[in-house]
Amino acid sequence: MDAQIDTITAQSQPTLTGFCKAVLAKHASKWPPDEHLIAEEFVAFFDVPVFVGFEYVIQFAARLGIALSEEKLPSPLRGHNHCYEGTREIRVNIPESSMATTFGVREHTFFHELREQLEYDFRQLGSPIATPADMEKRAEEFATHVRARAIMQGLAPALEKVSEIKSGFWRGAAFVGAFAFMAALGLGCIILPNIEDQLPKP
Amino acid sequence: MYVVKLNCYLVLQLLTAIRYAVPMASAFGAYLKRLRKEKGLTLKQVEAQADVSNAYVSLIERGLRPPPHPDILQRLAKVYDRPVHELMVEAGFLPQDAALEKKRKIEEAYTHVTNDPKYSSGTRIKGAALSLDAKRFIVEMYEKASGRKLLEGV
Repeated sequence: MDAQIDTITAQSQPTLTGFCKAVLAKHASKWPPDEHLIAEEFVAFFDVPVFVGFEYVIQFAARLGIALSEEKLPSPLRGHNHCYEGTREIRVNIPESSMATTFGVREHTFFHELREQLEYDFRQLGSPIATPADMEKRAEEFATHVRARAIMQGLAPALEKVSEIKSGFWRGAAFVGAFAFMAALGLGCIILPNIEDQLPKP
Repeated sequence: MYVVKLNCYLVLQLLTAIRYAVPMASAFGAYLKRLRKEKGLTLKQVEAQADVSNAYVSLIERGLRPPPHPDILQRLAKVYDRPVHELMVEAGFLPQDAALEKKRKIEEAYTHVTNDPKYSSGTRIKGAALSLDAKRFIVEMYEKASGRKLLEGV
């Protein structure tokens, strides 16, 4: 069964439904999976790059057939998504500060809304994961883990490149620098939901 | 001749009163019936809980009687779990509060949206509760997606 599942990739079914089917087939015996696992599968399935900027998010949404826009949403909305008869749309609030933009609040919100879209598919497939009570929390975890996971999976190739540096001193410095940089990025993804409201506004 | 003229005059007055009263009575009646149906109550249950004759309530619902006295509206409001103020406005005893009416329409539209099985939506919000503006936005998104107008004139 696992050999069959490994052949299902985004190239054959680059859709949210295709991803949900793949997750369901692989993890049916231990259902429901936690958000960490779903995020891991998501990053692998869609080959999410290490650095996820908003330009990537726009292209990614277009690939999935989701209309994405950034606009000023009424408080307290940070993001909104809907699905109606197959038409999907996500709206992301314009961040209140440049610091929020730096921390990736738009990307985080996009993945939060995307996780809710995934849930509609899991429900259609007869295998819902979240309940109305925990959907919000799960979507936040998913968004955090997707971004952190993508960064962390870039760490190994980065360190491999660093190991090619001939000079011992510079190789050591580059190792520390690369590790610290990636760790800081990953930490930023993890702490964003907790500090978002405290980020200074202009 | 005078008697004929007087009778014609009285009939004309009666018809004029009916012309304006019937639409008002009908609209209020339909509103009251909707409240009762939303609570899933029969006329007899309303009679038992509000101490108002079920036959009388039926006549009001069918628009055959004008809106009842405020005392009765108060009892019905308790049974239907609605603010008395709302029934008084619908019955025409109090002027329409534009802001409250707008709020009611938005809440009603939002409930419709969340109950539509063809429509799935979610949000990421700051805090726990949606504001009225946020609900209005969600209804507008639904209108755009479905092509249905729920907030016309609001």
